[in-house]
Amino acid sequence: MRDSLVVTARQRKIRKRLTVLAFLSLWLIGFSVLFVYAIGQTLVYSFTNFNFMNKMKWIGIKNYAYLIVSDGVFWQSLGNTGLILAIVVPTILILAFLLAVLVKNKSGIGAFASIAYFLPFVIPLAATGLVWRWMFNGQYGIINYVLGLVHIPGPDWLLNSMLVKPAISIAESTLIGQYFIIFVAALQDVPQEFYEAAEIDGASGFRRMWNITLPMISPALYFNLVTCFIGEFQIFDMPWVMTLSGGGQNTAAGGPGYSSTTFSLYMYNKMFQQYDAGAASAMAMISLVLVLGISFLMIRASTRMVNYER
Amino acid sequence: MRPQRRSTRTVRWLVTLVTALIFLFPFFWMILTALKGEKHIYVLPPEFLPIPLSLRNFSDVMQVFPYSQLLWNTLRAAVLSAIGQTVCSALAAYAFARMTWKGRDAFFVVTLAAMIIPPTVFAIPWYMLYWRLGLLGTLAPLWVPYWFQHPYIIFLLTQFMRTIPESFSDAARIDGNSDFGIFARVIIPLSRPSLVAALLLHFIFIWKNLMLPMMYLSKESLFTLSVGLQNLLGGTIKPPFNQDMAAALMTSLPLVIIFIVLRKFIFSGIASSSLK
Repeated sequence: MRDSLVVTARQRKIRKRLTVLAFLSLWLIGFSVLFVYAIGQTLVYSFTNFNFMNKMKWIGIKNYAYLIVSDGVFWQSLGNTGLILAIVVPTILILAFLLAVLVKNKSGIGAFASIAYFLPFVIPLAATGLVWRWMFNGQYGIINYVLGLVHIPGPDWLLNSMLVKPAISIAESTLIGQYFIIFVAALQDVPQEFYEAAEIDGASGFRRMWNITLPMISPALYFNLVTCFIGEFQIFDMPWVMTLSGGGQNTAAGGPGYSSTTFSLYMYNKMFQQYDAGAASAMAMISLVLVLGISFLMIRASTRMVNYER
Repeated sequence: MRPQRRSTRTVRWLVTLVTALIFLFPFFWMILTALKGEKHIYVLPPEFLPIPLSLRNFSDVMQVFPYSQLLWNTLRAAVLSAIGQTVCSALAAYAFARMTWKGRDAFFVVTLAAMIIPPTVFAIPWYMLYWRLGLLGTLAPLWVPYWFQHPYIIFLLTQFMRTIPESFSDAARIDGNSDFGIFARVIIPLSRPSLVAALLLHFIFIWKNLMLPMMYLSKESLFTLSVGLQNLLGGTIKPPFNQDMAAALMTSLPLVIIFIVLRKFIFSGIASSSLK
């Protein structure tokens, strides 16, 4: 037997480790540079007066203190995001769930409806936002025309600081595609015998929904809740395109005033319009803490609410 | 299936149809407005047929919406990043799904956690990184990072590769294949549906994306379709809505066609990415 063929256990172990490393290499580079290093960098920036040009100076917690104590727009943007979340997340989840129940079998009209429900997920939000902007147009928009048919005077939705957030929320609530698909898949996994047994016991449609369907799909419901919350917390495209106005230097979005400035929009403003990278970094860290914190709370609650036994 | 009364079935069918039409309406309205002349969009009640048909909107809006250039940039960014993130994620998914090593499950949880970090958290360091590497004046920020990271797609492919029976790998190993051989000859061919789903989902994501190119593309000659579209709103004179809709339609239509033709892959990809 040739020596080179005798591979010791130690050599085999090293070779295996190297193989694992080779498979992971690209993601390890990305993970360490683009994620870990970048988060550290953002954390450092958040304690400086960095503005892309100056020599960075350490200013401690001043960025955070300013945002939390003196920056009214920061709180307003948080409130705007909260209100939009409070409308959009339940609407999306309820719509996606009900429509998934409706088209459980994806043949015939169900196949057509699946395409229709999913379509807003495919169309770029810049395009969708423009259509809604046109449909919400005060004078010639189709929405106000329909309201006029039932004698409701249509307002100027996107120029009204009270109505701009509901208008954006309505447009955003059509983005049910991925949640719908996950609900359909979950519903198809519920064993049919459960329903048959319930039927024999004389359970009503509502009871079957409450006692069988919801517990059986609770992992999907929970997954959708968390991903929808995280996704919508970062809402940017729809308010940007629906409210952007201007001309050259006066270009601005999030209006009227700051009434539709979401958290992400304000962070973007800080970064690329005010060039206040320090404050923008502080906002980024705050959003990280909020998203991780609320996701963590949801995960803890889920261990009690969600039925993972299948 | 439970037998249903015919009336219940009819009601169900009607509700399905009506809700589907409601969800299609914005796209329908986009197409209709794009085909109307300017005088005809300011008519009440709105006209539901584009008579006379006006195709001038498309050529008119292209004065401020350089379609072929925007399309070419979008295609380049979307194709290059879709390929890159699929290569990177398939390799990593193999290590997570088909190999056992110390710390695997812990690192997989960390990878999942990376999925929920808002991208704005990375925005400024990445901007500085691209600036140092001289990439800010190029399309690279839209695709180079995806050759190194995409936790969501890693997750999706790992979930899929876990469903392939271990005996397939074992048989290939007995035939003298290394892990790379098993990856290339067994796992990749068997994962084809999920790989197509990964390619498509990311292609759509980059095509649609607005914030990334707005942050990282400094030159107008590099703009993608979505940025070009929002740029119509920032100009000194905003085009009328029929021209807006023509540009929006040109931006959306390729994706809509791709989606309708290949929707099976997209649906099954999303369905398998749910935590089970």
